[in-house]
Amino acid sequence: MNSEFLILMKQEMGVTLILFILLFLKIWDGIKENGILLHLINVLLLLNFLLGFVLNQNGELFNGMFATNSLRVMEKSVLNLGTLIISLQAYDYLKSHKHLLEFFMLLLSTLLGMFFMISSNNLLMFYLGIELSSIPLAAMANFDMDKIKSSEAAVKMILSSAFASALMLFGISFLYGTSGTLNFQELVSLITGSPLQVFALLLVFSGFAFKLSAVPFHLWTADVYEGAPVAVTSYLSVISKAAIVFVTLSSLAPLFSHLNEMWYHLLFVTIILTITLGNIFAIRQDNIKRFLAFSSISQVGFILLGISSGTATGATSAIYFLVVYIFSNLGAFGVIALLSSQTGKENISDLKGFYQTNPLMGWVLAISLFSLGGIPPTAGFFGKMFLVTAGAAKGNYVLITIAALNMVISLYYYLRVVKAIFMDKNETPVEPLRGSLSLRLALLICMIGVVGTGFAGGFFEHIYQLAAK
Amino acid sequence: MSSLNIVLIPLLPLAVFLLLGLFGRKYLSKFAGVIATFSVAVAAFLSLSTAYSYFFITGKTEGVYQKLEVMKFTWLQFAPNISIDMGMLIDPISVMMLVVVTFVSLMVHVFSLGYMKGEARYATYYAYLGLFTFSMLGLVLSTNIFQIYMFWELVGVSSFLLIGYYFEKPSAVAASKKAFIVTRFADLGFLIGILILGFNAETLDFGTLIQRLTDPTSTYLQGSVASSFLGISSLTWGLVMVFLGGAGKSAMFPFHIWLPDAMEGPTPVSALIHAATMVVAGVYLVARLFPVFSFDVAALDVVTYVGAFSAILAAVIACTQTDIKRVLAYSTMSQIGYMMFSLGVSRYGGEHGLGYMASMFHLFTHAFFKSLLFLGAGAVIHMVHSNEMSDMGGLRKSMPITHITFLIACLAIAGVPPFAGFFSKEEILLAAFHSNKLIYVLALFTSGLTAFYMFRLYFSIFWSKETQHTTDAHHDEHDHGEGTLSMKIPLIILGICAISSGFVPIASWITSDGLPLETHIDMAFSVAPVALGLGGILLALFLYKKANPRPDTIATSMGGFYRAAHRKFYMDELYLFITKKIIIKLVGRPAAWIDKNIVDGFMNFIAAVTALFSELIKGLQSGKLQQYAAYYFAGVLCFVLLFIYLWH
Amino acid sequence: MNASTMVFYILSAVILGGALLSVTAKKIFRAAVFLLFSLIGIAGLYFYLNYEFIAAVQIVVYVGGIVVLIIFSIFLTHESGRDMKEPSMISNLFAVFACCFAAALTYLFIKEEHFNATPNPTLEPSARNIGTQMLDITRYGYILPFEAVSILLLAAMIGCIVIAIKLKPKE
Repeated sequence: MNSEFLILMKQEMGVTLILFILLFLKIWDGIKENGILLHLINVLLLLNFLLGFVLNQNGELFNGMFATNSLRVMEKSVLNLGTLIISLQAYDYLKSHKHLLEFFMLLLSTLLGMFFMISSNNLLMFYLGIELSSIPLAAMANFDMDKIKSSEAAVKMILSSAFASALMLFGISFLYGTSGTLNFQELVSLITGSPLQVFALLLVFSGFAFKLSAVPFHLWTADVYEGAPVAVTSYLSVISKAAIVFVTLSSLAPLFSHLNEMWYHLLFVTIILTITLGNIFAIRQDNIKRFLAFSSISQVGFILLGISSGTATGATSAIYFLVVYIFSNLGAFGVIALLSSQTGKENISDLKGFYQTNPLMGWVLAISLFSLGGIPPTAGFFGKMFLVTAGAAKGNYVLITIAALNMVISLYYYLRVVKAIFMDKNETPVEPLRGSLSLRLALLICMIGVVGTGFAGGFFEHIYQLAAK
Repeated sequence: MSSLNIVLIPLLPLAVFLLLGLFGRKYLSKFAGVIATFSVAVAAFLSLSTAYSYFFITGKTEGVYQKLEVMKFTWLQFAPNISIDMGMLIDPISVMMLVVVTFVSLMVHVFSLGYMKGEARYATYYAYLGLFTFSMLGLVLSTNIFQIYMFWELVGVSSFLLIGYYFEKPSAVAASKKAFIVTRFADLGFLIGILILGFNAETLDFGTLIQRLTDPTSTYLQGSVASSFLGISSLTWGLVMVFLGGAGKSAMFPFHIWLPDAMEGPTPVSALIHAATMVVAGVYLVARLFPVFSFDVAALDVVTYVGAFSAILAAVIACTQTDIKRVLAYSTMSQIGYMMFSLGVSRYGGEHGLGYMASMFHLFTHAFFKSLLFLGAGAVIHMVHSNEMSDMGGLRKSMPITHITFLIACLAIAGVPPFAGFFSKEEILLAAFHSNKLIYVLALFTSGLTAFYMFRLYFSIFWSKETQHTTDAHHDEHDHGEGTLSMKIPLIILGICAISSGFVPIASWITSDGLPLETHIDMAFSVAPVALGLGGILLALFLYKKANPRPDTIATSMGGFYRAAHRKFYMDELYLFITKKIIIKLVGRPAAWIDKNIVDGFMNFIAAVTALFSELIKGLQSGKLQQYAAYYFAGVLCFVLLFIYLWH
Repeated sequence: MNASTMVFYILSAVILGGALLSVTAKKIFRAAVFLLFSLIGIAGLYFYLNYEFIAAVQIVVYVGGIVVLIIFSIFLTHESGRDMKEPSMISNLFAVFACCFAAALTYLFIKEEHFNATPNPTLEPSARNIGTQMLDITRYGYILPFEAVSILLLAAMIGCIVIAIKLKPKE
């Protein structure tokens, strides 16, 4: 099993290796210059990302504690890419940060947690993965050491996620109690739909919904997003979400396979609440991070819409949308990160007249927002289109109509920001921002993604091939 | 007709957009106009040559014009049996639209050389124009319903940019936002329509879709007729939803509210977008899917009545407007309404397809005289620096070319023979007469109103007050004259087109089934509309052509004329009473009021309700952790109750 | 009612009573002490079920570790002697309501549930078996979760240090 072991777990091994390299760098303390360290880390992350393209193999290890296939490898690669982009974007923020290495150690351990979660075929590993991917994040939310809001965010995050984990664990133990197994495949056949099991499943679902920030389990989101440093916020809103969606597709949805109807209606209620409330709250926000937090809640509703179809097309649409979402959201967050790190401003009203002084950044932000709002020809449009189409396959016109109406509402507030950037006059617009090369590179990747993903038709088919298996 | 030529047509404007968009502001700002104009000229030439070879050489097989797919590749295999393709479709209507779009765009490009000269964002303006032309051409050439939707949205975005071009003006910003959001609502319907049709036919390709949904024996058609929602078949729903999208872009009631505001954009843009190209996209869409529509009488009825109602509503409102661009905007809406109901009263094939042909014919002629009107208005505004009719008057001497061409356009739109509008309008009226008398009467009345308000406009601009603006001191200070040569040439060319385009044998080229259609203008039939048109013109003449600034002096000095003048005054009063008191006050004002308060108000109401609701629930997000936990727990419990105990 | 059932109910009473007192105590320090009783009761339940090893872990980790840590941090806040704020009437009402509701639900769930014995083979819960199983890579081996937990602890430690550490301001 030895070489197989290394190949199947290559991505986990990669992340762990980087984690330990960083640990030794910290202890050795030989490189004083943060900039050099950052470049080194980015190179390592890039190598880790490339690892997803070689030696792909399907298989199981540790008796189903760990299982992998090409789809899961691809999902992990997506997360790797997102992490790399965030790391590139965080250059300006971290260059002067005292705890640079710790930041990445925590970041990578959460990434490792997500990998375990995605690859778990077992409730125990899944639970450990979800904990590993959220506890260090709470510490990261506190990384603006001198800001009280940042600490508040961390406390809120750790407490509410502890609460959610506790309830989820409660559910998992009921599942174990009623079935006697933790293995997903075995569980699927043992779930009969007795009230206790349904209760357990609902508890597990609520834990997922909490991590996804689906309404009514979303309340932590805005406060945490607002207080945390931008790099952490973007990580939370993109990478964490993506990981949970992947697991929902591969593990949670099959658990409900005997309770098809209920699963659909559960999602139905959640989707309507999530999309609508997310939108309504997003309208009234002025802080950009809060705004993006609520709009991302609404986006999650759309992802669930794709998942609700229960078909391979739905799953493909959800994964495809997530990839697009990563590019578009990180594009927006990249600009916000720069704005926040250089001027400390984080309000939509501060963006007035942004285009006059920062035409390029203005365009990047606008294109990202267009993509989030689903305006063609950006990839976001295709993503949403596919999700809605997949969701429509069930023929539930109520759901589709509400989703479609919300698409229009969301356009309103995305456009509001775009309007502020291009059209509102401002006597004292933000001074021209000077982004590092890293940041520019990251934004370039995002823009290529936002425009290119939509037109690369083969990509959707590629995911479909993997998901249909 | 080589396919390379056709591929180049949309790509040229796209290249211009990319070139000017990326480098325009810094390096090319001086030459932006010339570069753009040149490439659009090439595109227009290619379109004409395509049209020539299609209609005269390659298009026909056994006497029927074929649909040719010049290129097509599968772009995205969405589900096993639904793929999204990209391609280019050549058939009579798309060829005609190619010519119209590139030609009008060329005229606007040329006109803008003078009109926009000295603007700070000159290159950006041309870049936007390029983007718009590209997306419109892409829309026209689309081979499938999804592709058309993408370009549809792209057209929306570029019009958003162009309307908001003067972003220093808050009204321009508001207008562009309004246009975008209102059309989004309509596009939503379009999207739902696409989904319904796509699911029923299991294809998005126009050819296959039309074939599957028009063959009475096909399971697809039977399935979509059989399944219903709220008692209406899903086919009808799909088509009505698609029409909704078309109504949004074409400014049909109740989505028309964006069109008058959209006049905040630069005037040549209004000529391009809001007269000749973008607003006819809706008509084009219905025409594109016409074979399917023709199988569904209910959907066609919706098209008919919405079109007819929009036509008359817009005409009535146009009589009350004082901003010349708004008058033109409402007249556009009214004419588009004509095209719509003409499609609505039409059926498929042969003689029954007269309405279809007439609609396309009117689209063709309207493009020329309406863009001429807008460009003429642009020239006037360029000179007077105002949009208000009251600031104008007596311009006929200082702007002779504008005057003549504007008059030609007015005659054309009023339907006076032998100008272009006469022929196309006649066909529409004939089609309406044969299928629906009510619509015919409405159309006839609208046609009279059209003549009236167009000549009201004409007389107030070029006649009425004689001396104030045009001459002497004022004139010398801001001497634009009539504008540069580049502004005059398009006017002259379009003027020629407005006279001659009625003689183009559209009937033998563009018909519902591809077979040539025999048409003839019946003199007896033409009497009523022409008489009504002339009546409208005369009414306008009486009311608005106060030909001489010194009528009173002449009247008193020449005793014999006094009584006549007096009687005319009396007539004036009568007409004034009829028009101002009855038509305008009792019909026009309320219509405008409803427009402003009810329709606009409804949109504001939605916004207000959303804001109110969000105010109400903001307490949810209190920032207190215990409360969050309580909500979490409550959420779980609700799910438990709902799914374990209530749901079963 | 035999002796075994009596023991079970006594243990349950200790657990629930401890929990209830912990929630209703006025002073935070007392709440922590009542929590201690509740946790000891749970350890007793494990003993009662013959899971000696887990019972020992329960005592070592929760009673010996976590509660001590909690008491320690209470002392650090200087608030240990003061009375806590009286919860509002509505909160109390909702608490009672929630308890009744939960009890009713639990009753309904248990009434309708037919518990099945696990199909998987059981294992003698001795410390030795647990130890080998924990580090085993064959069937029911838990080496991977074990390693994942170690990384989680590492990350948690790094996080704590970063937050708690105060760097001397550079001159």
